[in-house]
Amino acid sequence: MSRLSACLRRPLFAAVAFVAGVIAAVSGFENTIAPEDWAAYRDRFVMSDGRVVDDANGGISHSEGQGYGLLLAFSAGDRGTFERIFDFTRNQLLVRDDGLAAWKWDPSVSPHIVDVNNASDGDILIAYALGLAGKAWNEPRYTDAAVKLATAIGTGLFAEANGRVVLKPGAQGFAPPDRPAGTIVVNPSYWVFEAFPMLKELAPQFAWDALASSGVEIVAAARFGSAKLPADWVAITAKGLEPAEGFPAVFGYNAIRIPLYLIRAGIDGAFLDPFAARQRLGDPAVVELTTGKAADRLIDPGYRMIDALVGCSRGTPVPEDLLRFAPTAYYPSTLHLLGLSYLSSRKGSCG
Amino acid sequence: MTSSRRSVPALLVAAVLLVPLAVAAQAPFDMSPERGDLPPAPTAAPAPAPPAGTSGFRPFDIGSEEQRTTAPAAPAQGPAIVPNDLTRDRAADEDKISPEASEAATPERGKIDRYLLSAANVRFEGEVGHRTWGFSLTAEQAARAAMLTIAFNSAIYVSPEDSRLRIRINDRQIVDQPLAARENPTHLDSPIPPGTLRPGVNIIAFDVDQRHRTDCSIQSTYDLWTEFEASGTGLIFDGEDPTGLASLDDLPAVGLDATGRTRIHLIVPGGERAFAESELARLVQAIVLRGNFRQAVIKVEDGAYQGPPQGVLRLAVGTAAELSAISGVPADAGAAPTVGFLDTPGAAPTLVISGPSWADVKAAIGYVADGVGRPLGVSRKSIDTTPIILPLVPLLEGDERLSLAQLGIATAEFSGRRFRSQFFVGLPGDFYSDAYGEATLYLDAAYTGEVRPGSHIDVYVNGFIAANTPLTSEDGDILQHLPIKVAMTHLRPGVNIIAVDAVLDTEADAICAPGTPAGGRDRFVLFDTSEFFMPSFGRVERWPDLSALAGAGLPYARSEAPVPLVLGRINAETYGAALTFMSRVAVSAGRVIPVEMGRPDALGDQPAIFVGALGQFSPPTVAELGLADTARSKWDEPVRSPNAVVAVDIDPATVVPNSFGNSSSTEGVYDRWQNELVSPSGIRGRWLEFERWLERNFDLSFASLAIFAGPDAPFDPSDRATLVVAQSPKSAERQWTMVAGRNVDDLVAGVEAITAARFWVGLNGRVAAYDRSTGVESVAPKSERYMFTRGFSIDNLRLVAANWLSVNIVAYAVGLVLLCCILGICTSALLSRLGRRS
Repeated sequence: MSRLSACLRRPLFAAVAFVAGVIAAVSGFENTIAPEDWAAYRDRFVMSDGRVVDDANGGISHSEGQGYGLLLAFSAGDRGTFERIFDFTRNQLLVRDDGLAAWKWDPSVSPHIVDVNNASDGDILIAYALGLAGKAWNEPRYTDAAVKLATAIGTGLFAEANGRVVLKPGAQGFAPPDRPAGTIVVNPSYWVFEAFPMLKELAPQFAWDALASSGVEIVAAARFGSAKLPADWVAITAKGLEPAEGFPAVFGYNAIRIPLYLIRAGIDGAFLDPFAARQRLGDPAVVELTTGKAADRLIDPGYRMIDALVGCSRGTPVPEDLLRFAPTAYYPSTLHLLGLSYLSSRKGSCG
Repeated sequence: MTSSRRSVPALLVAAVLLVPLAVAAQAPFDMSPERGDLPPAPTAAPAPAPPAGTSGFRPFDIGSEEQRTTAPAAPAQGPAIVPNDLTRDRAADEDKISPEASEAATPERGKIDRYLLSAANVRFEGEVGHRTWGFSLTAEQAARAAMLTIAFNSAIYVSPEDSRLRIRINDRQIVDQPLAARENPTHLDSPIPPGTLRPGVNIIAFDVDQRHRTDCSIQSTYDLWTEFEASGTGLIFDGEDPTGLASLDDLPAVGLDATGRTRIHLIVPGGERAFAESELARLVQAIVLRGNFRQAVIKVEDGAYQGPPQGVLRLAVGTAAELSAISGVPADAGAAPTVGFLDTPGAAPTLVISGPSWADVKAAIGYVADGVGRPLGVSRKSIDTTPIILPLVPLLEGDERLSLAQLGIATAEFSGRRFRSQFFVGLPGDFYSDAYGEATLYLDAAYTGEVRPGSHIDVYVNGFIAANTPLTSEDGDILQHLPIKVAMTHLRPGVNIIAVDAVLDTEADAICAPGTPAGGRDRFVLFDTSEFFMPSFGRVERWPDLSALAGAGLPYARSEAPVPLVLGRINAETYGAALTFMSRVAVSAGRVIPVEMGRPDALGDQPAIFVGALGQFSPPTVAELGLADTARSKWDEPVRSPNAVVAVDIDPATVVPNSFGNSSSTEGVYDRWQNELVSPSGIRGRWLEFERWLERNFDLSFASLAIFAGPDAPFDPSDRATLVVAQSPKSAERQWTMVAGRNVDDLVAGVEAITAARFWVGLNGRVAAYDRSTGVESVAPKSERYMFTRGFSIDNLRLVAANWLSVNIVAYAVGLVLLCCILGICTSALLSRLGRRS
């Protein structure tokens, strides 16, 4: 408990959450998923051809799911499955000229690619997992693919807003001319913070540190409505931040994973405050930002795991039942394993 | 060394010394029964050293020492010194000096025959420093010509003209030498005049006087230091093989190794069967007490030790047949219980304890161990700290007055700016007055008119400030028994350091003209007639309380029945670590603690000690000791490289809500001002403000207002910690202590580290965790059990209650309110019966 209390003692607003020096991405998450947990996940959501299935969304697949699949396979030390997921991703999704991945793949439609647009978080997850695996397993094929994808991300997805470097959610459609002048729409949950040190190693010519900083700035500043939470989609204008037009103003399935990303990246606990405050309202939920009310209760253990990790960083032990994994639906199960993997990497403690 | 009286126990009539093995001049041991009631040395100890400059001092020519330190020249002076030891190449030696290097010292480097320092480095900081301790020599060693060699270096700020090092042995000046910073440590050899050394305890005193080169500020005195290296500081005897021990009384002469530890190498061919013998643990503790090895490290050895002999005692225990493989032990030596030293010229002394059968071995052990240490129920008057501190540290029982002279401090005049003098007092293991008690220092001192108001005298207890007295007179003053109240907050069982600092501010120092740093006239004097008064204090044993274990070996020290010692695995490493720990506890207790090998499943509610790797103990045992179950399974996993930590240069406290980058959100700016000016607002803000006010004005935090302390949370050691010492929490009904390493290697290394004096005093509270880089960190218990072990007395109860109520202020307040209510009810009941009704 001493570490936990030490964590509590830490000044809540640590002066500047800054870690000096060049930080190499290290395989801290390697072999942090128990074989039986991974087998349960794999048997349920990974097809024999390496396709990761989003079973709650009509069995489609997407670049984000492939990225998660690669990251989890790496974390479980399953090279065979990693190779299969990579195969599917490369052959089916990495079809764009700019090197990014098409985001949506539907088995029931031909051609399977329903939307050739990319989703930045999927690209980042894939590049990150490939980079980790290439380095840990000394596999140049993975590293080469990771470098290509990281370069494509840096080239096509960085944008400037209010003097900051931000991440466009996709290569097209979120900034002028598709949006009003001076407005850019971002998705704060697309900042997969833990990936940036690895991406910096892969493509050092891009401003990944600045991107990480703008991400936490948005997370800290975007506090909408009485719930004071970020929206899934946020518009950046000259005046500041607001929930993006054309999207529901909710703290929803996207934004719910932000604290998980912050925690896994080891970012200062003070940035978790808004999410810890949300927990006082009760179980994980989709929150309507206009009213501050919970719209949908999220009872899957995967969602509760994120709350538990936020609590854990403040000294509350993770409930026993969350330490066991049983697959539910694709998305919460993925979040659950990411949380378990984090706990395992920290030997069951937080902070 | 010949004993005058010999009352040999009947059992051991047949005991023979290994005459063929022992050196020819060896005499049988003194077996008189009273022997060993006290550890051997101090009875022979000479009186504390009088101040320098009195009789007994013989001036010594030190004129040419400077050159000798750098040149490999043969010294000319010191008529009795045969210079063969001095011919070594100093230049080559200097490169080799380091604590690490000394571990694997080659025989050439090991020319120092007796190391003298009790830690790898001994440092003197500030303008004045003094330290006295003792070392033991055999009669043979004392008779030889000898030389003192020291290795030291000073801070770059130390002024060579005004700084001096003086070393006296048995009141005779051996070294008087300017101090100066050098690139490499200075090595200095000084012949010891014949007749200086004597058999038994010899007293050595280091005095360091340092002044700053250029600065006169008080702050600058903190930049001054001189450090001595244990690996280069010691005695060199003339001639070969000066380590031979002749009798058990010579045990203290085993001395220290180059890191200040005494290493006992157990040679037990009987292996696990021998470990199961409780007599072996008794023997080792008895040897440690007899030798007064306050920092002993016990290791089970395979019988092939070839390393440096200094500070090492090899202890071969077994039947004659078992020991026949050891060279030098003849197979036919085992006709009777046998105790004796092997003749091992040039190698570590080897004590053989043997006999034809194990029954005989046990009889021989009894011969060594019987009567060692203080009997149960007899309290000591002092703690025999000879190898580290002299004079012996008095053990205070309360209501005692000791003059500084008695505490080993001489009257001292001082011309610098920060005077420091320190003394040591011992406290019993059931000391319980830390929350409210105050000791008093009656100060006899004087200062001149040069000392300006604003100067002050500070008293530090174990490094924490405990009192501060301003010097107010403008014309100087003579302080006669000026009482200074010293808070007992930081006193603890065992040896405590009390330091008196005089911080002197003068106009001359403010100007700091050239030459001023050296100091001119004396400004301050502390008289040895000053007295330290320890009032009666509350005495109650507490559980859990590691400081009582560390300071006095409690509660095991008062156990009559053998304490079960449960090892995680019965192997050489764990056994060695367990005995290292037990020996240190025995030293604190001043007696041999009876132990027996226990099995975890056979323990009832009796006290027990567990030693092992944490993973070797069962989950119920670990839970009983208040340690987290996750630690059992996960602590020993290899430490991972940390997960990538993402660098962000955003301060969450300055982020303005809903602004981003160079945006101009009015709302955001307003919020920021709101946050900064009015924060925190609302009822919560008021509450916070109230809490802060309480803490600021009354030193009260809400943590101290907890009425019902919850159970102690299971302790989960950090990944960096390698060893924990834990006592079962109050809720656990049993007095169990566990010494658990992350794994067996960490256990051995960790126990060696924490039994060193500097970490041992850090053991405190319910759990202490040792981390190589940060030392010992302790966790206080939430609740404690109290045991009155000294019989009932109203006075003691009052003192204990006073301390308890000082800690538990809510209980005090509730009690006060209750008493007031009772008084009110009684009064109104009384009044309702009296007088005329209206």
